[in-house]
Order: sequence, then structure tokens, then C-alpha cells
Amino acid sequence: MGAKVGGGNKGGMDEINVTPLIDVVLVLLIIFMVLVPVTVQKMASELPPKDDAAPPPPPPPGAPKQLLVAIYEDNSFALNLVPMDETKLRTELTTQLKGRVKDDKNVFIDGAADAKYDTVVHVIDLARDSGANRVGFADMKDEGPARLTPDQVIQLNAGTLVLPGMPGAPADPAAPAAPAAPATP
Amino acid sequence: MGAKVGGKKGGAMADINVTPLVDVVLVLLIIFMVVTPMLSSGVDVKLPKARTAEEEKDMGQNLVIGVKGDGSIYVDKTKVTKENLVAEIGTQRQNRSLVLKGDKAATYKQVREVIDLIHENIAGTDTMMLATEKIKDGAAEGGN
Repeated sequence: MGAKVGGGNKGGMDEINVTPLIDVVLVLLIIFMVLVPVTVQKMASELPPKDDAAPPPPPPPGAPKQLLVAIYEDNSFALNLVPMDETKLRTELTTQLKGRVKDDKNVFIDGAADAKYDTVVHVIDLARDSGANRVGFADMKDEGPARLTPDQVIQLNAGTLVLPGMPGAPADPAAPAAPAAPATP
Repeated sequence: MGAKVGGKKGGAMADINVTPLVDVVLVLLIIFMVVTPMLSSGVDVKLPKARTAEEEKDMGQNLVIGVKGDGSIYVDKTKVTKENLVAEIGTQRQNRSLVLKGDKAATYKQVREVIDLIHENIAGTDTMMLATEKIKDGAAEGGN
């Protein structure tokens, strides 16, 4: 019976006043909204010269060769025409960019019209992660980036095809980074 | 019988009224849901992820050009066409720098056409800033 009286007393404590709690929570909310600023993440990408602008001077002889990453419509990659997967591309770019002076640490991106923008940004990110100082877009071509024919890929893997800029290729500093692939046989 | 009465006392104690608390929590939830997408400048798009992007506070110092996954173009929050894109940027720019927010579902061509239009018609746009989303360290790369 004594327990019964005690229970009744506790019943009187039921109505906890939550109004101060609500006040505090609202103030905290406002403080957080002011203190936590929204951020924007951004990456710079260089654009090719305008159509009416003077073309850039050809690279001086002895300049390191340009690095041009092609992104095909199936979202696969090639570095200077050599098809490769992402891991290889990263290794290759890191190797080739190492030891260059800052102004030569450039990578060009040549994307196919139907490539995903997500993939393009991913490659820009990969190039910058590999040490590129500037990443630029190449002019978009209607036919898409140059690519090797399946036969040429077989020759390349067999070591019988020598691309400009590869070890053993004739030095041609004025050659564009992506020589047009020969027509399909 | 005594036990039964004790149970009744216990029932009276459990009577804390949580309704106002629930009301407040729901209102807070709704406020957050409404405000969060509005906090960042420009339209709401799913940004591609990148590791090397520079981070800066978004205080409205950039004019955001948005390209959604379906190819529709926005200047800040105004939907525009390719024809009036440049004029709309001129109206809204007020010396702000431009940032391009492309949806990860867009194609390269859709985004590139907008970049080229801006580059051809607006001076000082030899470099385009592309908005990305930060990859959290340790998280898997968004590789698709």
C-alpha cells in the first residue's frame, strides 16, 4: 500500500516542460546553418583557341611530346592512340609527366561526342592526380577521336607497329599529338 | 491483486507527452529537406566525383551554368536555350566568375557545346571551371 502512494507522487512529475528544449534546438539549428558554409568543388580545364584566333605556335624542337588521352564513345581510353585501361593510363601518365618542367605538364583530352561527361571528368581528375599541371580539351571532331583499327592494335601488341612519339619513331616535333589513323583497310 | 494495482501506477508514469517533441523534430526535418538543395548555387544536378578539385566557400561569387542529364541548360536557376544562353549570362553575370555544373549523366557533347558557346562569345573564358563532388578519402571511386 505504501508503494501505491509512492507511485502517485511520481505521476505528478509527468509533465516535463519541453519548451526550453525546443528553444535551444532551434537556436542550435540556426547557429549550424550560419557556421557551416556550403562549399563548391571545382577543377580548371583549358579550352582550345577560338576559331578566329591565331593558331598556337608549334612546340619547339626537343619539347616533350604532347600527351593526348582519347575517350571513345564506349568510355574506353587511349593515350596517344595506344588503347589502355585506367590503371595503365594512370601509370603511364605518371611516368611521362615525371621530370617535366611545370609548363610542359600538360595533358589534352579528346572526347567522343557520346562519351559520358562523368568519364571525361574522371579522366581530367586522373590526369591531375598523375601530376598534370594543366588539362585541356582538344577541339571536338565530328568523327570522334582518332583510333587504331583492330588490325593495328594487333600489330601494336606484336610490336610491329610504330606510332609517332613512341620510342624508335622518327622525331617529328611538329606532328600533332593525334595523327589521323590510317583509313580502315 | 496488489500486483495488478502496481501495474496501473506504472502505466500512469509512462504518460510523457511526446507529441510536441515529434512535431518539432518533423518540422526540423522538413526545414532541412527544403533548405539543403537550395543552399548551393545553381540548379540541382548530380555532379561527377573528383579527387583533385579545389574547394572554396560558396558565397554566391560564381555564376553557375548548369547542364542537366537531359541536356537542358540553366543559367543559375533560369532555364535557357542555346540561343539565349549568352544573353542570359550577360544579364546575370555582374562580374562573377563562371562555373559549369554538368550532370554526370550528360554526354560530353552536351556539356562541350555549352562550354564552346561560352568560350566563343564571352571574353576571358579560356579556362572553364568544372564543378565536381568531393570523393571522401577511403570511399570507392565513382568509376562508371
